[in-house]
Amino acid sequence: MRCSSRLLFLLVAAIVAATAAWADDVPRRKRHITPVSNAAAQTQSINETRNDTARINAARRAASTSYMRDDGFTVYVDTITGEEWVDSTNFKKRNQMKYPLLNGLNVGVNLWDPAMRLFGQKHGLIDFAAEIDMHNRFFPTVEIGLGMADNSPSGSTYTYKSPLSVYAKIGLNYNFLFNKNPDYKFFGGVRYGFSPFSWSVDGITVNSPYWKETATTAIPSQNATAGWFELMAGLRIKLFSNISAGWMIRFHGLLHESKNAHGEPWYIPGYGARGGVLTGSFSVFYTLPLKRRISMAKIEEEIAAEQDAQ
Amino acid sequence: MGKFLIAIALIFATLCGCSSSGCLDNGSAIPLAGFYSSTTGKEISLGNLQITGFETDSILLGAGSAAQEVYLPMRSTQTSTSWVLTYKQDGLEGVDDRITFEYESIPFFASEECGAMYNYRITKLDYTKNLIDSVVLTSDLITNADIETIRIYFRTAEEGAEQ
Repeated sequence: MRCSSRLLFLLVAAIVAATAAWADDVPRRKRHITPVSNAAAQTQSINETRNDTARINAARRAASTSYMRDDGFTVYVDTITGEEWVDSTNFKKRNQMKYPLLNGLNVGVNLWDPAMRLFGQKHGLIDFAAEIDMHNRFFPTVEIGLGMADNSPSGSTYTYKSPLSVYAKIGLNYNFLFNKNPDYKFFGGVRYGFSPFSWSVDGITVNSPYWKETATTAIPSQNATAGWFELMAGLRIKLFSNISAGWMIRFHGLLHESKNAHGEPWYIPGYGARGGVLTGSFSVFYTLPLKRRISMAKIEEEIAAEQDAQ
Repeated sequence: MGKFLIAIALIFATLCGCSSSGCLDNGSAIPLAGFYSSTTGKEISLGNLQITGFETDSILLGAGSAAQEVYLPMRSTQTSTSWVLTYKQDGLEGVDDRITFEYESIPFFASEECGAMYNYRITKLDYTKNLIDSVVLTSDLITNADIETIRIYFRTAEEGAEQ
């Protein structure tokens, strides 16, 4: 063996020896030992959660398929048992109205002022009302009337006059007995009224006892406008066929009125005489049915059927 | 429902009590004049003052009764009214003052109870200054409201003394 061959042999031997020495310094990994599987360990979690319905339902839904019904609700299907159930989170609150939206149209006449004039009232004439019956609950109302005044109070030295003028009111009645027999209604309501009118005062006599003088004068026709609110409550009952009648007590107050250097008008058409906060109305109504009423029995059947479906 | 009906009835019963009735103001527009001391600016009571309408003998306020204020009715058929103030006190014989109001009469409807009347808008005020120091209008519009609208300030000899 030549010298170079010996050297190569020694170098390889040294490398092998060094590698063996390094390998002895690295810590050896621990061996993994698989525990022995038994029946108790496998069933323990199942037994502990067997009565947890939330977990069970979640598991069932996870194993289910779903589809959307024609009415928009999602229906889940248990692929094992074939059972179906509806996603109730999308249920809308059932409409509690027992009567249709457009339940009727009522037209009426207020006989309060004509009756009061028979008992000496010096103002007012007549007014008419039209209202829409919505669910037998809400009654949007329009009232249009004519008013006038001619008043010479006893012991006074003037004559107050207001020629025939028109007024209008708009508002809403609320029937507290909306799901009851529609032949009986207990109303609360609110109105806004407005009237353009004119007034005058004739035969004004001004006495001055000290100066022993008497002057006569007049306030010529004055144009005016006024707006007011009314809060009301009352009853209405069906008399026969489509005829009903009822009364209302009305609390009212002026909201705005035109200013005048000759004073404030005593009478405002539709509002009445200034000074009083209460007035009333007695009206007779004719009902024009807009839609055939649904019978109570039919409504209850529909509710029961829907509950069964759920 | 029963409680609701009772509540409604109580509300309306309460509201019924809000109705106004009767005339709480004067039945005609008469200015109320108060007497004041120009020295102190305070209201004074005069017992030696006589007030009559100009060119009349009718006495509106007689001397001998102490008064702190007086109603001065306007002439409804004229556009001016004058009042003569005579001082019934020793040493002041023949001394008097005159106050003249010029005004516009405005027909006015107050209410059904108070009725219709004239309101007076004062356009000019003249007065002499023998014992009167000044005359002040708190409002140029005389209505039937029962409030003082004229203040007559008299020159007093000393604070708190009567003329």
